[in-house]
Amino acid sequence: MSFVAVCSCDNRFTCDAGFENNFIVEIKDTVFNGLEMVEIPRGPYRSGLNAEWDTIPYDFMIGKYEITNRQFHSFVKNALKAGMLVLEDEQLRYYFSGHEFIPDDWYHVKVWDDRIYLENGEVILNEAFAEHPVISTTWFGCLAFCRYFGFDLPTAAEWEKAARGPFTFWFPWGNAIDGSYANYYQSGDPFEPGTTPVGFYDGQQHSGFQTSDARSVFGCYDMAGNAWEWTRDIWSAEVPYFKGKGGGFHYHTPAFLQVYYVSTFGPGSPPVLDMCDVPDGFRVVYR
Amino acid sequence: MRKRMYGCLFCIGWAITSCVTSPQNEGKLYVEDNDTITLLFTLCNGKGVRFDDSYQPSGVLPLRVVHGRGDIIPGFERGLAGLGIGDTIECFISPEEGYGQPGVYYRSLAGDTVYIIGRNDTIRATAVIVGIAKGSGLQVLP
Repeated sequence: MSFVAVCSCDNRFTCDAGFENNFIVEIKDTVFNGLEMVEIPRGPYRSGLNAEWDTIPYDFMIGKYEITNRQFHSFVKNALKAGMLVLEDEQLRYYFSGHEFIPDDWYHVKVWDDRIYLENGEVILNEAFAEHPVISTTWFGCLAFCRYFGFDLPTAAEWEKAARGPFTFWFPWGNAIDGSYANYYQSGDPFEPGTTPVGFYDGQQHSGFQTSDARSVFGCYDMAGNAWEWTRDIWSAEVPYFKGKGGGFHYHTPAFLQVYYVSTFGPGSPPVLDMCDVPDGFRVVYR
Repeated sequence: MRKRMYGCLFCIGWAITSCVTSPQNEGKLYVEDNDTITLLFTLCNGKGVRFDDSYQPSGVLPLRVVHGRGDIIPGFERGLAGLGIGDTIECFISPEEGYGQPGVYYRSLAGDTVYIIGRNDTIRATAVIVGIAKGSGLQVLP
């Protein structure tokens, strides 16, 4: 196995890192319901630690970026007006129902932080973090966003296919990693110890910090590091907690940013269903 | 059979990272820089609360790292050097080689600050090596 795959990534992702990675993947950007998306064709992809072949038999679109604070703030304001969310005892809640294993109930949406917070009953956006990924969000809050705009959360399989497609890569861009590729624990970015703006790792220099092009093979950004991303998958009927993908900026080192890796429960033991850790965010899918 | 006690002193604060190895395998592969290794692990904070591990509801999910690249915290990585397949290790990792002095916390829904890793916590890490790859090929536990 080669540790450094030399690849090119313009409007297509090609790679010559051995016969098992000799593929060409077309990157197809699009805009759907106001969000920048990439198109993922049906067909085979590599799954899991051992990069075994699996397949998804339908086309879908997935968010090019993680959902930002600006986008989530706009959703909260509008969903409150529409009655989809309620503000009760200064907590945002969403009524979730109809799941096979998850009880119908009012669930928390988000922990207020220094990016989106409550002031005199108003939900305020901190413009300094407007283009950073929204974090401290529960799975239910993320799903509410998706439903409001006609999207869904990706399954872990959809997420993994969007990250590395047919390649055997460790990370969405190849096997190499350092602080120029992704935002992880003490990765040395200009925003330490917090999030970076979505799409920061694009191969350009930002405020004197040289990044590497860390787009996934299908053209998605931040699929390693920055926010952990909720998926639609639960572990089992007995353990109805949701899986996270992609690693995070908070206390995870590069090993946990690998495409195959899946988060466990997060904080708390046993955790509540509407738990969230600091770096928890998401991207959307449309199928 | 190899036996090993590993320890080191740091100038700042006389912090100590120490590891005890239990060799299980007298094979010919030992972890060196640039090796690809897979391991099963647990990480516990200063109160003994597990905050990360390989043991998931659907079974074990090994962690894959390139040794010496900084894929995991430094104290843990150094403890793995020289281990063989099947060897287990228990490390007590100082804040300087772990998660630093400030600790790691989150804000609960009730607005409380909850530490995942406390200030100045010594991290307890355990691991068993399940695979080592040098160049091509991966030798794993039967």
